[in-house]
Amino acid sequence: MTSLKLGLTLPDPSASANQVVALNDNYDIIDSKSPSKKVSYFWGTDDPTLNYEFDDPAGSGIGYARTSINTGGLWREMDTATVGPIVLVGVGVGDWAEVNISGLFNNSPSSALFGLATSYLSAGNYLLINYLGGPCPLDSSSGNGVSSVRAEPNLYSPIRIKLIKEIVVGDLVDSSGALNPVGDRIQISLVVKTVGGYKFIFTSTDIPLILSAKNLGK
Amino acid sequence: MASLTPKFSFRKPDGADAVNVTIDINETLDKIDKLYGGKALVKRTTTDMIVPHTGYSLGSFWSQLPVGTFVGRDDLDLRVKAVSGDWIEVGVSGLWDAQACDGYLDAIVKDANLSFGGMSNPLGGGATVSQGVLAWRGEPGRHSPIGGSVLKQLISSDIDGGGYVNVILIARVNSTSIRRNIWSNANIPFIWFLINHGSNL
Repeated sequence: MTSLKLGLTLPDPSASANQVVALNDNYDIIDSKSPSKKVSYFWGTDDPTLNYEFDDPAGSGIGYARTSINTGGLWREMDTATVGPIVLVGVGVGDWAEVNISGLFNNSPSSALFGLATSYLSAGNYLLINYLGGPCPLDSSSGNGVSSVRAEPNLYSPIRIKLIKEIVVGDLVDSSGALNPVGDRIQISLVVKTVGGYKFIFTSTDIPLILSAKNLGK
Repeated sequence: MASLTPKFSFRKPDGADAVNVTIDINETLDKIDKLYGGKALVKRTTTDMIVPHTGYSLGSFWSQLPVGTFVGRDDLDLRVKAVSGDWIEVGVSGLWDAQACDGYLDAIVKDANLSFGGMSNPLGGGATVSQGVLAWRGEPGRHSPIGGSVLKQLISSDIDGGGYVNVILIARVNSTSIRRNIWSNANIPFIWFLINHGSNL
């Protein structure tokens, strides 16, 4: 929690009238503790091979990559070693993180599900730790991920996610992406499961995939 | 939320008359409230919730979820500390089952019985043509994802005697013969949460 130390300097020691002291220094302390936020707009080329690719022109360091989303019915990380998960810095145990996603699956005849989990980097791969929605274990077919996303066959299906999670010590990583109980950040990975073939997530300029994360504080 | 105006008296170095100093700390407290407002979250992972079809000629009345005695009725009640003027946000992540009737969801402030979806007296048997929060509507005959959140600024009657705002989930269907389910299991959890953003949203 925020800790306030009130240091008072009498504005005018010679004054005889009542005075009001504004706590500007303390406002600054609170401002410096304002929760961190991050927004990423993902777009690139709508790929007819049903891959997705995205770019981050805002320069948040996400980079560029493409990954197939024909997962063969298994949960797969959407990102690659080039495109890391979204990272929220300045997070501690007891803080609440908020994640919002807006996107659109296309109308391929297959179905698809979407999952979210905190993750850490190990041997070059992101491994999931704690789910924000339902289970989405990597390389497994079990679990349905985030309940509010279910891409039906042959239908355009919105991806609409707003979730919050209280951060526990097992969510924290350090700047290298390794699990660290005194780390100052969390990594949120996007995972997807398709059933029946390819599914396509729009990442075009007109139909971007938008992901934002915010620390709500305690 | 909190309010404080401490006053101090200082004596000048030369021992002359005291000077009264009033510290305007309320803006500071408001910032703290905004950063550290209360949150509540329930992840329900057992027993699908049933929305009954009984009620009146056009469908069911609004019912508080979960309905029935097989689970604790209060397990989807959310509460956080709040005062009049605070902005609260209620969000959900869930999935309607595919029964062939429309399903509607809404959130209400329990003490005031006022809806986030815009209707009045939703548990009183009236307003049964309303469809609650439209983002949470279930299409008939189709698994329908439920997502997103709604906001409301609180008034004094929204706050209970203990200084809390209490939010509950309500639902109805538009059928007199078909009930509808909302999934609640380990693989398809129903997540329901409440955030108090304080007075400065």
